[in-house]
Amino acid sequence: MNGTVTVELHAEVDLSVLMRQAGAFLRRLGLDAEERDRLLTVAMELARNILKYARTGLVRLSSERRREAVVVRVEATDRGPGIADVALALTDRYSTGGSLGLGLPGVRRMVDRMEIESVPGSGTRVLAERCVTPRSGGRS
Amino acid sequence: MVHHPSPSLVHAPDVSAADLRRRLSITDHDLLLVRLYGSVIVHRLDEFVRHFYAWLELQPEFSHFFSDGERLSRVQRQQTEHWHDFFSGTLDDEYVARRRRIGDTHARIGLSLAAYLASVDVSLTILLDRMYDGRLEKQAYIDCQRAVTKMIHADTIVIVDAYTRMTQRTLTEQTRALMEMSTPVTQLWDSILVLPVVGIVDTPRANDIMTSSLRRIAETRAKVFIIDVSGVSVIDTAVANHILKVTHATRLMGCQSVLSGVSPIIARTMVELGIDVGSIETSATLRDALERAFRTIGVMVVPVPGTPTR
Amino acid sequence: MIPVTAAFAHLEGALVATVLGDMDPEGWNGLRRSLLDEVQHRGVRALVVDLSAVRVMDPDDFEHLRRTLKMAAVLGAPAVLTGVSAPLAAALASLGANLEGVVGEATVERALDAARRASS
Repeated sequence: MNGTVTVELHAEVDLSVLMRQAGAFLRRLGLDAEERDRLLTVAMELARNILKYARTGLVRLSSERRREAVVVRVEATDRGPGIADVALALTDRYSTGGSLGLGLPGVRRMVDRMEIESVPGSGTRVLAERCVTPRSGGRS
Repeated sequence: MVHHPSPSLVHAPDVSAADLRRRLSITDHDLLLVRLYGSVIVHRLDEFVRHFYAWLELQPEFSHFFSDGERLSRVQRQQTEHWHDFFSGTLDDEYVARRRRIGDTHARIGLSLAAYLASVDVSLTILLDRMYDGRLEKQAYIDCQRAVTKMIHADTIVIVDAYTRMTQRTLTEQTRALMEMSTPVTQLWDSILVLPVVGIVDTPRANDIMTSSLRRIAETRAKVFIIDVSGVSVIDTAVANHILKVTHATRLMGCQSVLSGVSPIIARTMVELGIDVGSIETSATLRDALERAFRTIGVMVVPVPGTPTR
Repeated sequence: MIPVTAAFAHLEGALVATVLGDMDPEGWNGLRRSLLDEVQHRGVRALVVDLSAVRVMDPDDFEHLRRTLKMAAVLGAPAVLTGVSAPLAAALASLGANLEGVVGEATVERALDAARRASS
């Protein structure tokens, strides 16, 4: 039973809470440093998007064992303005927030599967999944 | 496809009413019992307030938090409202939100969790023993006691959660304050500055990095600025964008920036994120960056002849 | 009529343009024209633009300046900035000005050196 980790985001301070709690969660799953950092980066990208566009929201990490492997899910939910054109948001260099706008396409490259549900005006849910094999020591 | 029921786009709080019901197995019947017990005592809540403050006055925190009478009467009024709310026997998300606000307030004014929990215990005794007038059947009274206790536990879970959150927030705020106090841009050599970046780069810190680095560059007329990120495990696009901005700004001032301590993992992540690594000069270690910096400023480090080598 | 916005000094094929102070977009436009004029007609081989008297600059104005410097380079006069203060650099970077390809140096001498090196 690995449970889940949910972090509410209201301010940038919560990013460090997310880093710490998500880091501990991924360590409990027995992932090596490279996998942990990759998934942490995904979580941070999605969290920063929430703070930037929706101001508040949730990032949740969960896992599911699939034979020898573990599927790690990073899920970001907000009730922000939503994404009008999801396909466009997945294009490199697209941004409405004044940055380079590399977040979402980058995240997609870092995971095995990504799903975006967005309703303009009422919110966005991004689900990113990555299938990993924990190192043997970390299992319990 | 999604492997679990797709949640609606509702912003769920961490502890929800449904969570509490499930955890403490609070049934609608329990809520009915809470309402029933409420009918026995809510019209005598002034009695509760009297008992409660008789106890509170003996507590060490009392004089500290209730030095002025106006605040005391305001808190007493809120407390009465609170019990009305409690005995209405409604456990929904609004109720949880109201409880959380109470927890936040207590945590913010610095009342200890121990003091809070003691007050919960005293409240329970007052409500269930002292104020009970014996009008219910024995079994009904026992069932009511059980239901009220469950509700109190539900309150306590919410409040403890609020406390934990507040403590965590304070802690991270303090940590950040500590980090902010030092954006240690250090002069390593004539014309060489180094900045070790640790922890999380958020907006205030990013601004701090920008201003202190540029100020030091202006002061020292440095030609090379080494930004060492070996203490950072995650470089996301926000951080990378910021580093890019800093490197461009230093270039305007005649100072070339080098990003050092870029581990293969970080390098790979940056590429995957689509960050234009080519526009930043990077090196794997601080040592490599320093060597390059020496070359840039035309300095050669050679061993002193005759010094025994290890 | 181009308002006087900068002082020009020619030094052995190099031009040092000292901007005299903060300017409105009109001013920056004027400077742009006169800079390119000088470069084209006086055989300038290296260009230094001194911004030490400039405290604030709009990212749009900076973008114009950036393009001007690029054009100067195309015309055979690699350009280097000098005198960019820390607050100006920080403001430009934070406001999202495109700083790519713009090079500065801490002093006029260094800037002249750098521009001449780039030219040879």
